[in-house]
Amino acid sequence: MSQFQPIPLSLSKRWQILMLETQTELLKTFRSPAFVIPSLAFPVMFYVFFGLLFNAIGGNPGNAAKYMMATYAVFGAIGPALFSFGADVATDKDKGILSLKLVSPMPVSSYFAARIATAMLFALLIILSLFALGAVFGDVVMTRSQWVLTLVVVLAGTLPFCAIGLFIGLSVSAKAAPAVVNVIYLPMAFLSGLWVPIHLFPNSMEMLANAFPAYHLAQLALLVQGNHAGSPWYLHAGALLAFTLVFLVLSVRQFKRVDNRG
Amino acid sequence: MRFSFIVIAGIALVGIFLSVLPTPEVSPVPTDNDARLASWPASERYQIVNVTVFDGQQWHEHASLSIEDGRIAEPFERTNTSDIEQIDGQGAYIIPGLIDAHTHSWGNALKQSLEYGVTTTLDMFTDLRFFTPKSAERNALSPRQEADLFSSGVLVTSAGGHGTEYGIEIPTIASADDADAFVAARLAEGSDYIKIVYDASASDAGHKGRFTSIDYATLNAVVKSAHAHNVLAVVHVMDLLSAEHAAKAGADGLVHTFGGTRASDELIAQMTSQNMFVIPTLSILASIAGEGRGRALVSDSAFSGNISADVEYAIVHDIASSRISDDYFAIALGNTRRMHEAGIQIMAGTDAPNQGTAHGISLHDELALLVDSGLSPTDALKAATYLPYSRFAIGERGTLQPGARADFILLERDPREDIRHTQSIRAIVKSGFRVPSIFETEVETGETPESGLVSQFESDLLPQLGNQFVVSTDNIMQGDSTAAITHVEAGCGGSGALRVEGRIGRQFPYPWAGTFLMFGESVSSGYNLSNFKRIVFDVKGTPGQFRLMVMNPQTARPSEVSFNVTSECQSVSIALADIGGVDWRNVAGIGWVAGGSTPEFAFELDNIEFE
Amino acid sequence: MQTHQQPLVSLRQLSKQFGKETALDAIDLYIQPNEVVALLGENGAGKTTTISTLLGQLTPDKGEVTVLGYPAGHWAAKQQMGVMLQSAALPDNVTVIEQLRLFASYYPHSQPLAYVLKTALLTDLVKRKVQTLSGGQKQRLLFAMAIIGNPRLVILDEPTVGLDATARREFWSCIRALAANGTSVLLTTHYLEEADALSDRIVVLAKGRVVAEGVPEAIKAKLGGKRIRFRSNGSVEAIEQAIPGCAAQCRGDYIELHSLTPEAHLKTLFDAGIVLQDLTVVGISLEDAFLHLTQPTQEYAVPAKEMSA
Repeated sequence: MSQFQPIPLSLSKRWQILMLETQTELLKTFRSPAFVIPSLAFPVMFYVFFGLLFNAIGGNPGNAAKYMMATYAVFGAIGPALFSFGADVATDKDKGILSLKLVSPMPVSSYFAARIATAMLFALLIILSLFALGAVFGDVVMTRSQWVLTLVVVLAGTLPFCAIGLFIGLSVSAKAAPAVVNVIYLPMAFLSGLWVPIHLFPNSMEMLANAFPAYHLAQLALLVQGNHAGSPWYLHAGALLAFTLVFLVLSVRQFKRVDNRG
Repeated sequence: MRFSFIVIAGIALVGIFLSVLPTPEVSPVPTDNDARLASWPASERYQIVNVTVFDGQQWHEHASLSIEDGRIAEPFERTNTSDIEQIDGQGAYIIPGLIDAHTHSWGNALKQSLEYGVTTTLDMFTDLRFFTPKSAERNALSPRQEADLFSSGVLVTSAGGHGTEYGIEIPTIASADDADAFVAARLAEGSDYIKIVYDASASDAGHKGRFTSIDYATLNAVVKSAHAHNVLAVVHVMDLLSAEHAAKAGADGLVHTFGGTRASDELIAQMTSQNMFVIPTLSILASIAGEGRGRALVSDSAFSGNISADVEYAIVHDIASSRISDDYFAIALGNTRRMHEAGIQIMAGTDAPNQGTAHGISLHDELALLVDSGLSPTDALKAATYLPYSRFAIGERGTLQPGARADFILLERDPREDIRHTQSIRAIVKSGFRVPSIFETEVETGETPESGLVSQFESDLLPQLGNQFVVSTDNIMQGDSTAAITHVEAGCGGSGALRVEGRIGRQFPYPWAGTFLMFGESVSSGYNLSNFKRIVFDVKGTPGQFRLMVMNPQTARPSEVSFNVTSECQSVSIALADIGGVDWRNVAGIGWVAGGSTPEFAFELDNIEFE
Repeated sequence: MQTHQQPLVSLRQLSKQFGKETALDAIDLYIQPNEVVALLGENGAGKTTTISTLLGQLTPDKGEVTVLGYPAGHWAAKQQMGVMLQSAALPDNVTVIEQLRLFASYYPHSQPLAYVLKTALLTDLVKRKVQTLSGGQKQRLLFAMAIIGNPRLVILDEPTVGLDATARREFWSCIRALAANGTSVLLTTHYLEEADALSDRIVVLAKGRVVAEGVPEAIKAKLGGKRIRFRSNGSVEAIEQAIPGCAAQCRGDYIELHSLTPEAHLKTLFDAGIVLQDLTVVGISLEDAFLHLTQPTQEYAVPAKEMSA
């Protein structure tokens, strides 16, 4: 039985693992409608209520709908990132699935890459639904490059939230994780102006928003359509990068603890 | 790998999804235009087939349009189609060249209008020095890249009335007795119609407005006199009472509608019975109300991305008056709607280039505003074509009936579906000749200087960047300011400097005097300075506020920014981005000038550099 | 002992402290190719700590770990190993085949799925979701995941905990099939019976130390046997006379003695005319046996001939 020598994983093998891992993640996720339906429906519903109805009231057709389309896209996209990493990693960790995978020759990167892919796929579905609603009911008109750039910015912008979710998932128990994620997700969404435009807030709250990564991502998405509050893009991108790095470092420390527990 | 296929299919679906999302109406691709431009016949006799034509009154589906010697011809007989050139219109929609029924024109107004498909403008007061030569050209059928200009010439106003504030010396009218002579003088100057400024409240005790106004008797007399000379008398009014007086005096039309007050039923009834027309100029009223229409045009219209820096600057800054009520604009729209419903003829006019509006582009928005106030898209098109044609003496303009001047626009999309489709301009034809549209005008880019150093004035006034420093004053606007430039030995940097001395005169209301650095031999060519971020220079002199002026070739007004001078040498640094409305790709020159706040001035410039 | 061969696993003088508690105390453990080794011990004896160290999850305080020629946790070692962790559960809404396919992808030389399914007795369950499987079926799925990579060494941490007798038997047959194929197995258990049934060699751990090691028969001899307990008119001395070396003890009214052959010894007692009242014969618990093994002075004599067996 021992005629085989160990061989390092080739790139194509790694790709194949990533694909299977992603596929399994997706199957798992889509088989639990209790997660799928709210995460898809909430941003869409909120957008219909706030974005489209507000739009119908105000003047300047399409602009409020366009603004809200960007902020609700951010809202919708960061949810799956936080949950896929926060709640699911905590479950894997508590059930021992994570340990089992770690002692198998699975490349750790593929585990995380698959989660990122899953989170992004969700984000993609949400963003595209919002695009469709905005375009059909909100009279949203943007140039082709603005549409594409909004999509790319929001998708890429889920990464800091993957890092934050990962830290939560590795730090708290599977039972506590969804609650912790919600406690962070919902207030952050509100205070970052994802539900109600930030300029409607008092100044002090607008300042406070700078502390949240969601605010910076929303500003980047708004920057694409020229509706941002005014800071240059690199400040927001820099803030997001900083959040990502800080939480990655924290997660790595936490990960070593999980990996080495008895 | 089934999953890989799903992934690829997914990506493809996302791509398709993204490609069907709505974008601002696409402007024709330039290369396409070049191809179509190339295929435009050189002959003066051709036929455009496979088009839908709006002749100013009616739509003709599956039609063709025949052009001969710069005019619309009777459709050619089928039998001899072989010897005339045919163009495939590819399903385009042809409408008459648009008419803006309320403008004020100078500088590049006519060229800019034409680029947006406005082939005729009805000016409501301009400088005769501009009007007289332009009106002489308008009846030619030769290729020209400017819109045709009709104008009231000098308007009829009282001494100190609206119209006198622009710094152009104009005659005013004192009493009704002068009416005949005044009108005759205007017609002698070439005025095509008489425009009267009237404000009924100016004679009230406690009137707080800036301006005086002629009284009703004068208004009445001028209208009668104009009619006696067989020309139209149109009246500028901004409120209900004045409008009622204008109607009572028998005016032919109002050149604004008004916000603030609902039009009375009596006014509407009287206007209807007298067959009066109205040019609501909703564009300027929207600017007064701060509706942000210009910003929307820049960010979200078919023209987005093609709007030049000066036009953008002009339209994004609304007047946004704080002295009007919240429902000012809504009432203006409502008045327009009710007048239209009563059968009063509505014409499209913008009042460009007043703040918040610009020639050409604003007329497209005016059409949209007319539709917003209840006109059908076809009625809105009539408001900019057939109605001006039928009321003003402007020749065969605004119609495409045989014999009319061949001024028309080919549109990609049907304006009956959405009036904003007038922006989907494929081609503009003037007197049968194709002229470049806003989508085809190439932005001229000046030469890029190698170094940003202008001069340290070591030994003389010759700049390293640019052609020469010259004196610039308001003399070109008939002002009497003076200035002189000299080279002095000891400047801010120790060595030489440019000294400017002068005196600000009183004849021109916006006086200036100073020095101007011309980049080329004339102001028609310039430099590309878009690589630079700031201009830095050392200055000392008469304490006060001075201005830095930047000129683009062929723009009417320089862009300006202020800077402070003290008696001590100091370095001034101005970010180029802070100087609004400049196309930095092609700058004709830059000036340092004094204004009214420093009547006697002197200053020294040194170490000028772009960074 | 095939000492000429390089052992697949060697743990030398392994020590690990958790705070003040000693989890492992200078443990030596070797696994040879084709060998099934059972790590026998009570809960808390240090079995799982040993496994974790071997997998690279834990870094020992002292000692050396070599697994398949690599340091613990090395990717090349992982590729040649299959692992069933004691605490592992599986995601509920994934099917057996999906789970196996995923794990198969991690290994460069994975076994055919059909073969693995057959070995783990899962052939009829391929389309079932994990949440619908019984405890035994879940364990067999985990087992299948452990062997799917065609490993040289399979580590099974308490594979039959919580299974009923039937499920345990089924599981045993899976392990036997694997061993028959020549794969080395390291198995932890706290059932002597299980260790005996499956392994070539048993290593007994207690309180972090190896307290006994040998072929199953030898360990059974140490840990097996029954306790005979009765009240009697006869004295302890009389009883020890009748059965030499039986180390009888007085416990209040009762006399207790430990016997590997209770039937023969009882016959001897009856034959010697000793009256037995309130007689009970019970199997001794492993716990007692381990305690007993860890004590330096042995209370229960083990016949010399049995040691050599």
